[in-house]
Amino acid sequence: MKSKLIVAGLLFASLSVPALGEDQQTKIRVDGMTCPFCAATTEKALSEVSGVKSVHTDLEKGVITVCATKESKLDEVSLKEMLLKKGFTYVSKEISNTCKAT
Amino acid sequence: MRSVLFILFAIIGNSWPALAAPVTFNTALPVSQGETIVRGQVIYGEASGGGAKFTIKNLALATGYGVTSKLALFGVIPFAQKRLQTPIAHRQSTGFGDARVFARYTMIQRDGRGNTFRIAPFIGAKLPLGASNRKDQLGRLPQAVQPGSGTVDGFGGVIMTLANTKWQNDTQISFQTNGSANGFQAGRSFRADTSLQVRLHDQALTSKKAAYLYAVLEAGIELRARDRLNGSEIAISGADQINLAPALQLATLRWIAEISFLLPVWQNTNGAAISSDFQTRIGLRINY
Repeated sequence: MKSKLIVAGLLFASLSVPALGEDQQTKIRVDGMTCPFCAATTEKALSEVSGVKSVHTDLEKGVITVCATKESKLDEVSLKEMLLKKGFTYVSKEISNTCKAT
Repeated sequence: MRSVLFILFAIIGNSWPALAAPVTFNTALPVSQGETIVRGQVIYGEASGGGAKFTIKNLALATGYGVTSKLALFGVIPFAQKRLQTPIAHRQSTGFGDARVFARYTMIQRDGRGNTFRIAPFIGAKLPLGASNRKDQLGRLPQAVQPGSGTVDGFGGVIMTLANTKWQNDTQISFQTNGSANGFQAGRSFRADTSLQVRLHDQALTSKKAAYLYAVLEAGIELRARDRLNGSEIAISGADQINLAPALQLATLRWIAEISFLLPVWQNTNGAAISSDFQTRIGLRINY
């Protein structure tokens, strides 16, 4: 009985503690990217953000897919500023809880 | 020599991916905020007529820096050897030519999914870095052979860029007004240039690919007013010219190599015997 209580307690604790290190996928819509190497400059900048594990760009769709930990700094203000510096326009972002292979 | 190579490799090693751009003009060079762009071009040109031949070998170094996402500053320094061969004399000069500095500000930017349209005015000055009063055993070199003009000249214009994932077009118009030195004043000039860069092959569009090849076709028109000597117009001077320049650009993640061959398709030299024959450019460009 005691061991069952410990297991139940641990399960509860694991659910209530923030999921540190978990990955999430962010799809960033970007306008103005026209060449493969424009995308590469942005990918390079994004991959330098702490927690980012992979970056992939679909130029035709104007979408950059980033797989990163939930703690990585990919908020709208940072993204907008980063893309502006590269000469592009941030449009929107969409987050999903799993990183799909691209 | 080793240290020069080391610096070159260090720069290329830290470089940003390179983008296609016009070959025969620098006003459309792409540079992002906080980035530096360096372009080196070896230019060889010939002009001839009336038994005379004029050749120019020029190493032009252009550099630009993105101050903000909209404002970029550029400088161009040439080092040239100019040579005039006539049936009676050979005259030549070697040295730095006049430097050009200019600022470009992106005033309009309309970005869409996989496309962009930008308009950017630019304004600058040609600075008298090159010697303008060189002499040889026959006396003062002709103005065309002098490395520099000796004058501060102003220029300005507008560059427009229209691009999508398959091609890019850059079109500029520019105007230059010239000062006077040693009694000589070069005529004002107006230029209009356009450059179309098309990505060759139906290659998969991915930033992971090592290199892309671009076919480039450029056309330009230059209208140059007559020069003045001691205030009087020189009848046989000034020229109007239409050029066509096919080119190739190999763009890699680190650098762009470029080669172009410029041919005049129409010239009006106002009676001058010498007219332009051709101009070739081979260059390398990096962003870092």
